[in-house]
Amino acid sequence: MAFLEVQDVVKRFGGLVAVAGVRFEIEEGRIVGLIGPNGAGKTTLFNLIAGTFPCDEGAIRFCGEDITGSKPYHVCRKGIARTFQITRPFNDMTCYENVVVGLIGRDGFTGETAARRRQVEELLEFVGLKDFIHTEARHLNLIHKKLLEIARALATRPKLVLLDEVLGGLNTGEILKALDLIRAIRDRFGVTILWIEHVMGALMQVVEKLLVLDRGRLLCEGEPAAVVNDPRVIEAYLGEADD
Amino acid sequence: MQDLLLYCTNGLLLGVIYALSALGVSLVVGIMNVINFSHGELYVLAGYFSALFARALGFPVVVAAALAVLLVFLFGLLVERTLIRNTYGNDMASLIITFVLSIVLQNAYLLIFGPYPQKPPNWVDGSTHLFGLFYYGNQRLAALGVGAAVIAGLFVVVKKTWFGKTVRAVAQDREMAAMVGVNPDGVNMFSFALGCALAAAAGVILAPIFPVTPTVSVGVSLTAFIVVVLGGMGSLGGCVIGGLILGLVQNLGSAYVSSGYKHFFGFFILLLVLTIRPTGLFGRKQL
Amino acid sequence: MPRRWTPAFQILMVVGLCVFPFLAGEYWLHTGILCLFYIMMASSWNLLAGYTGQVSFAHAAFAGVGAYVSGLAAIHFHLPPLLGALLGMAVAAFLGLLLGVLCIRMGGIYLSLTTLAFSEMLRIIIDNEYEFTRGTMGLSVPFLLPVYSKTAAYFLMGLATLAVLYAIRVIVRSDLGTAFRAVQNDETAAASLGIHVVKVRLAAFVISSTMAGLAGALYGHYHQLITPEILSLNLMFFVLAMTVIGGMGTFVGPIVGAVFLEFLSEYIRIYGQFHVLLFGLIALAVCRFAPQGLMGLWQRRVRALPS
Repeated sequence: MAFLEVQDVVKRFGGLVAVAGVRFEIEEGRIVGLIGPNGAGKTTLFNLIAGTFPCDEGAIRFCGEDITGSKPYHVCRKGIARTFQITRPFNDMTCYENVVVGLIGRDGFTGETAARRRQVEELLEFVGLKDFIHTEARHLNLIHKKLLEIARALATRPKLVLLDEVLGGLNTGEILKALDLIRAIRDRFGVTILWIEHVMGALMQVVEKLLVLDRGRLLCEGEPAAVVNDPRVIEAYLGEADD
Repeated sequence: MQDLLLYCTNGLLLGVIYALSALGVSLVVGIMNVINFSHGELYVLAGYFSALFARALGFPVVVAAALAVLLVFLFGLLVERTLIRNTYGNDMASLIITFVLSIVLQNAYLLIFGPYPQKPPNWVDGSTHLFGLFYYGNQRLAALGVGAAVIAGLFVVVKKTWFGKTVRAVAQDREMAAMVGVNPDGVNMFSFALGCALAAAAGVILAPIFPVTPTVSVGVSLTAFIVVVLGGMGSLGGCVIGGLILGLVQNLGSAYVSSGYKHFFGFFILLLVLTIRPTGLFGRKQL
Repeated sequence: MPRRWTPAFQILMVVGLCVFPFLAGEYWLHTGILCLFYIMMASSWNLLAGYTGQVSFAHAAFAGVGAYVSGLAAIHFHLPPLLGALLGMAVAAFLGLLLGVLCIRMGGIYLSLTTLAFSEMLRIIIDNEYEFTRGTMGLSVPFLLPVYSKTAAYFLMGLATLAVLYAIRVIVRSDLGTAFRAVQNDETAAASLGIHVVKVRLAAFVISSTMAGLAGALYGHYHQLITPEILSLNLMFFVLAMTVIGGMGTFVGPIVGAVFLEFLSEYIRIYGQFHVLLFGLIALAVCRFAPQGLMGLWQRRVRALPS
């Protein structure tokens, strides 16, 4: 039984086929990269896994359970959390409250307890937002918003985290820190990671497997070094450069 | 039989006007995702204007009607620019603002025009013998014809012209439209005003038959909303079908059940749609 | 205001509110009672609109449900008004649940449209079933208490208002309140974190409708005459304007707005119809230039002052 199985999923928007029959599997405990040119359907695929959109065809199985057509809150409770390409923090709420929402989503309305408070503080410290614990999310800069989304996602105690372009807009020093954080997510929480990223150099340092999507189809998958030298992949990216 | 045909003809007439008025709401929802709660007040405003121009200023009825629609269109531009533009992306704010605007307008009408019903003169006199069964007012037949013509005109504009294509592009993907050089602010402003103008058109067409008072607006708005939900939000074709259905149901219902409950049937339809098929007859799946 | 003043200020408020009925004349006492009614209405509407971002136009209608249910129960079954109020609340909650289940899953615009339609239709039923409801003539119902006393009514309404405000305070500070605000801020993000958005919205809708039912029932028995006017969009507009002008999404905003507009309307009542128009214009100006309402302006001012 595979950890996450995506079985020939298809998603159409009107006449446009965004995801045209993608099939792959992910093993537990891995950090997997998902790359592809713009418009390849990466974020749409995330939205299908997370239940934001229903699949038109195909199935998604997680830990042996069919989650096709499940609503987002249900998928989250099954153990899949996500971040957003364009960050969506709860702007009017503090970092502390943002993380609490994740805990509520997972555990229900338990009320504020000392244990919960400690959990929130630990999570914020883990991502490096300890100093902003009572700052409203609207006042955070982009990096901090991304870190907050990660903390919030981890609060739901996921088995799998979907990261959507967490490195975009970061400088080199910040990228290095973020890479450490992503490794730590896996090592400390034992969370499997599926990660969309455009910053290839950074991605290659961390991922153990790479999936390449092009025009809604899975172009190839495998060891990162082998995949980036695959002629089909080079062609797909060169094709993009021509446009 | 004779009665039934009469009620159906009445239902058809009302249905066409409901469709016309609802098209204005649907257009604005489709493009801007804004529901204009003061839709009915614009209908009433046009009714007052046309009565005023025709009676007090002695304009020919057709000129008075056209002028009324034009003025409401300009008023729509003004409202969009001053009140609605700031609320884009915040559906709640536009709901609240247009609701407050509707109350403001109702009370302003009460002060300016008084509580008494007002009507512009008929465009045509006399009546026609229909189906060899009953006499039907020529004014009503004219309203039916003009209403249908305006709807047909709107469909031509939306489906065939450059403006229509632009509008549909913005409705589908605002950012993409902006990238290819469409000014979404301009499109919004124009569409909102066009929505208002459609309410106004319905107003000037019906005012000679059903005189306007400051408070008929609530019924007009509600009817338009029900038609839009019935037809499916953002679907123009659905609006026409929905309007006709509601017009017929209301007339037959009030004839055979109870006239006091005329507007109740609309609500019943609304509940039915929400229970059975919340996206409406021709609605897009997702909003 | 500096934090150390707060307890003293609260005590002063409570004392002030307790002696008010003994100092004020009949007329101002009546105004005070109306204020309490509006505070309940605006605060509970704010729980829905301000904290979860759902604009319901049926809030006045639910007050009407509470009033008519309690009133009719008192007339036909001789139910004491205070028990009737509980019944009114229960029926308002039940109708709120039904209406909410129908329209909340479709999103914000549907809620607004359906609640508007619901409130108009309820008014039509009450107008038409005059044999039962007395229509626009109004339904005469017994007073809140066995003995008529405005002062007692004031304290009773005051207690109910405190209960409603306290409940709102507790809810907003609880996990449910956190979920409310998360859903309002970004429902997609909230759902991605395991929050059942529809259930959270429904909870807010039912709670808020129940509170409106209570307010309406007490108001009806205080007036001793229930008319369809209570379900009208005018009352709905007052509640909305009070909340918007005071400041949506704040605890104090609706209270300030309710007191401000109620007293203002007493002062400008002599100008007849103008007061609704004036409120509308004020509300439009606030929406446009100070979306956070009076509370927002006040907070900005406090922040601007050197500390």
